[in-house]
Amino acid sequence: MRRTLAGLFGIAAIAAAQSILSVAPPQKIAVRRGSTAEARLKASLEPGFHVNSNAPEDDYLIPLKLIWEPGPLSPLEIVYPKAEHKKYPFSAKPLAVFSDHFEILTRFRAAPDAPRGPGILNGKLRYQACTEDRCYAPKTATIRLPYTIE
Amino acid sequence: MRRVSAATAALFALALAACSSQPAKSPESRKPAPAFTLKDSSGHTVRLSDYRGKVVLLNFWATWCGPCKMEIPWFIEFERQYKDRGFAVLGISMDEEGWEAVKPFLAGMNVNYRVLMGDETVAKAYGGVESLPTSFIIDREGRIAARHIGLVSKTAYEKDLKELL
Repeated sequence: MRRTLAGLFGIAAIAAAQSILSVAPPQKIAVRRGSTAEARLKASLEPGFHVNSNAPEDDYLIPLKLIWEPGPLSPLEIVYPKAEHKKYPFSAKPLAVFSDHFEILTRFRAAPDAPRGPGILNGKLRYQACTEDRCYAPKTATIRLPYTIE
Repeated sequence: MRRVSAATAALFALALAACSSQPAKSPESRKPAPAFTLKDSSGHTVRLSDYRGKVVLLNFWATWCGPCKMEIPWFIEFERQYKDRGFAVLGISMDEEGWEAVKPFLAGMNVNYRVLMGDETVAKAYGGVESLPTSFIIDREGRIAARHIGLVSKTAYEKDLKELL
């Protein structure tokens, strides 16, 4: 049976992990029916923290992952930033991570028959953060992307 | 070891949150380690009270935690070196994927000590386990002698263990 780690860690862990990564509310995008548009997601980490990149080199590490819920906008491509390769006291080799501020770009296509008008597309950004000497439970940030289909 | 009430556990959690690492305390100032009952990788029920009379290194960890991975070879060595002197390492995994993720990891690391699957109750009882690794050194009377949050040196553990063994 799957369990949520937030549940396993308890309230203290949830409170601590909430402030590690913040995502700025994305700017509204406008897209014509049948065409494409880009959305940029700006994330910031507290000083001293890093998250695994979208492609960590160790299978046991939890990758950063952005997922959009189904809607009138379909993600064609999600472009993560280039990972930094940093060496930490606990790692024998450099790890592929993101730190400080980083941006994730998503290219969307609006269906040709998508209903015109405004809407909100929901997404989730899953991440797992560490410092030089400790790691925190994986977390999921909720994303709300406002859009208008023209 | 005494079973702690919810109120006691909450107070214990607050006390633990106040600071991140505590070297070995004097025996009279040690608090009882919260009791727990968990399953090991073979499905056997394990209670902390089963280890009464032994010095226990209780380590909360996860497969995705790099600093935890660095400590594991030290714990393997401690288990081998001190097992006959009344010592045991007990790992408590906090992996959300459960044994499916943990068993191959343990095999790959040749872990020689007992690992249990953690749950919300045990994490809360031990202060919420805000980050990993978090380890407690429990004395032969079932009291918490020392606590380490985050990666500390191997010698810090050795110092604690040598005081208790």
